[in-house]
Amino acid sequence: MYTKKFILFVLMFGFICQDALAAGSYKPGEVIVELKNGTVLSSKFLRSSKTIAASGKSRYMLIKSDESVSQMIKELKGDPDIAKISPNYKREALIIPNDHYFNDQWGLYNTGQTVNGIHKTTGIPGADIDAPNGWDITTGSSNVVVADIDSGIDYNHPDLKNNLWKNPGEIPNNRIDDDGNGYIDDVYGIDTVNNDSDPFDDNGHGTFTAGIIAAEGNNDIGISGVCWHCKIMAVKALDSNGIGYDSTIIEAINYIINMKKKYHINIVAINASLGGYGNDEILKDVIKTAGDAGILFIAAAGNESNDNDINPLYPASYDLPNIISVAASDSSDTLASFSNYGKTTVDVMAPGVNVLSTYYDSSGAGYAFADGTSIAAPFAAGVAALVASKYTAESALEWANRIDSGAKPIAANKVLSGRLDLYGALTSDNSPPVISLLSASDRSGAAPLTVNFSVSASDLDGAIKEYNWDFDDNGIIDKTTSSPSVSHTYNQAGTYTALVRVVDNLGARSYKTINITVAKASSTGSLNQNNTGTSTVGSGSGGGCTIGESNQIGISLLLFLLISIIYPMMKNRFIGKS
Amino acid sequence: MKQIVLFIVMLMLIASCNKPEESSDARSYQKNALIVEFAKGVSKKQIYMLVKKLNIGNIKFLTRDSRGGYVILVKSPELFRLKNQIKSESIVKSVEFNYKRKTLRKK
Repeated sequence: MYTKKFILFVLMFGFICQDALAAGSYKPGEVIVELKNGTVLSSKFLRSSKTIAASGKSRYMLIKSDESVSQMIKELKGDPDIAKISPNYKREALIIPNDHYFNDQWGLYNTGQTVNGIHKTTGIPGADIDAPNGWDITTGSSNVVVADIDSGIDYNHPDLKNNLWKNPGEIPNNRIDDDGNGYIDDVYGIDTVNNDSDPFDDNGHGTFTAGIIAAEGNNDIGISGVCWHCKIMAVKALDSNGIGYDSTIIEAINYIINMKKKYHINIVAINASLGGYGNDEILKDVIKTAGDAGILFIAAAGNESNDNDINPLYPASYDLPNIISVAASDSSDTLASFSNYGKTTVDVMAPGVNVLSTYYDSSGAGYAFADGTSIAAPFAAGVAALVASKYTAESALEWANRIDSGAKPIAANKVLSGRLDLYGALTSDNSPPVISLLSASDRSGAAPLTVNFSVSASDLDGAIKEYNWDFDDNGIIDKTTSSPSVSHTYNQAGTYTALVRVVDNLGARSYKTINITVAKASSTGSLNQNNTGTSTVGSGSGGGCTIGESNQIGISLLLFLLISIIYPMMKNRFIGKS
Repeated sequence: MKQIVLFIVMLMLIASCNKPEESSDARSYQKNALIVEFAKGVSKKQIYMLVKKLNIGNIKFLTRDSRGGYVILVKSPELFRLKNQIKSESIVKSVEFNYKRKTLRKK
């Protein structure tokens, strides 16, 4: 029964494809035919044929000939006894790794399996990153390195230890900075929290994200990472509670940039499964420097169900071309209920619910399930590593465009591109839009200065979908238009880097910037706007540490005063009525 | 009645300080630290001179070379005074609070 179905499938596939026979995709000189009920092959090919399957009155035959396949099909088409004809197509097994828990990894290969993780979930087949099809193309290069800025990594974990990056310039434990990079014995990476060179995980989170990126694939234990053979650099910037600061992260990024630029380590991406709502332009500058060094920055979009276009979370929402912001999806290909999203600020969504990965525990070989955009980001980092493994000569921005363009469009899409798709990323040949000119009506003047921006752009293999504008260089997209022109008024003196991001119909992006200089206005009184929002904190909150808290207390006091006034009035009215 | 109203007001005060959308640590930062980015071309010597001038006790270089401008971490209890002072220096490109970041694993 199954044989019949399989052969029917082969035949149907053959009919669909027979007008576009791809050389090498089928066996030369062979075709498969299905005979009509009760008939026998009567053509000249009878002697060179053999029955390969029979079911009921149907019979399937393999015919061999010295003729070309197209010639054989042409001749057999005229045979009244033949129902269907197909070339003998070549089939390759989808690469399914032998890792023991692979069946629980719905994010890589969703067959509709039920996963009993932190909550029981049953998926929809195909709601995954299409890893087996992607692995048919590449399972990754051991020359490609992904830096994981996190709580460290259990570098002794049996599923990770072979894929941990090891500093070739450092001799372990000799207490000498052998490579002269400023860090003694930085064998696996560094720890910017404790200011040493031992990035061992004391939280578990970093071991988890590392496993998704590149747990050793097909090694007959545990799980498979997205990239089977890529190396992971451990850069600990979060403490045992999973907390870090921009200072620890900036130092971590700087280490990664140095290792790439000075020591020629082929670091293609940084995974940053972390975030916060503070907008730090210095962190943005450092991430931009990483982009200039050819490093993608994969960042988690956040877990508050927020629209990041309106309420940005950093670093995911910085409008930098090398940042890929990742939301979380579930095994039914829908956005996870907790996940942040954003049509302009979040690139893709990736599996982030009930995901299995490596975990640190005292036994040394832990595995666990977890939810979060922290979990989704490393899927994209793994895909980036595989794309970089295949397209070695391309730039980080070209890799980013492949990832965005290859994403699978989904219904009720709330992100820029769609759901992350490894096969799509590896096969996408979409070109990003070409921006020929970004112009401004006035590039300098006194505040308030109204500037009319205009961009000329074209898309060679599709259509331009939208234009995203960031006027103030404040880290987020200010406006999205379908028109290539827009105007903006600058009310405050300063030098601004206005940016336009042109997005095509498949999510590929191109960027261009232009500087605008605004002088102080001749009259005062209207220039108290603050773009960063950071210096509006009252000076009395030095002991506290939350921006916005003083405003909330102020509003509460105002409410209190109002009620204090209204209450006696109401009281008098009630007394009067009673 | 007066007590009920006061109770409601207290509840409102508490609620306004714990809005779910901005969790209690949203946009929080280290209370005694600033990050300072210097303009391109500013040397370490110039930075140390500024540190001496502003009487800053404790600094750490977060970047190891001046590509894109040095970035340092400044530790001081006088956060706001120092922020305004540093910001007004011509060799400084920007000054930021040392914002907190956390893992985004869903609890």
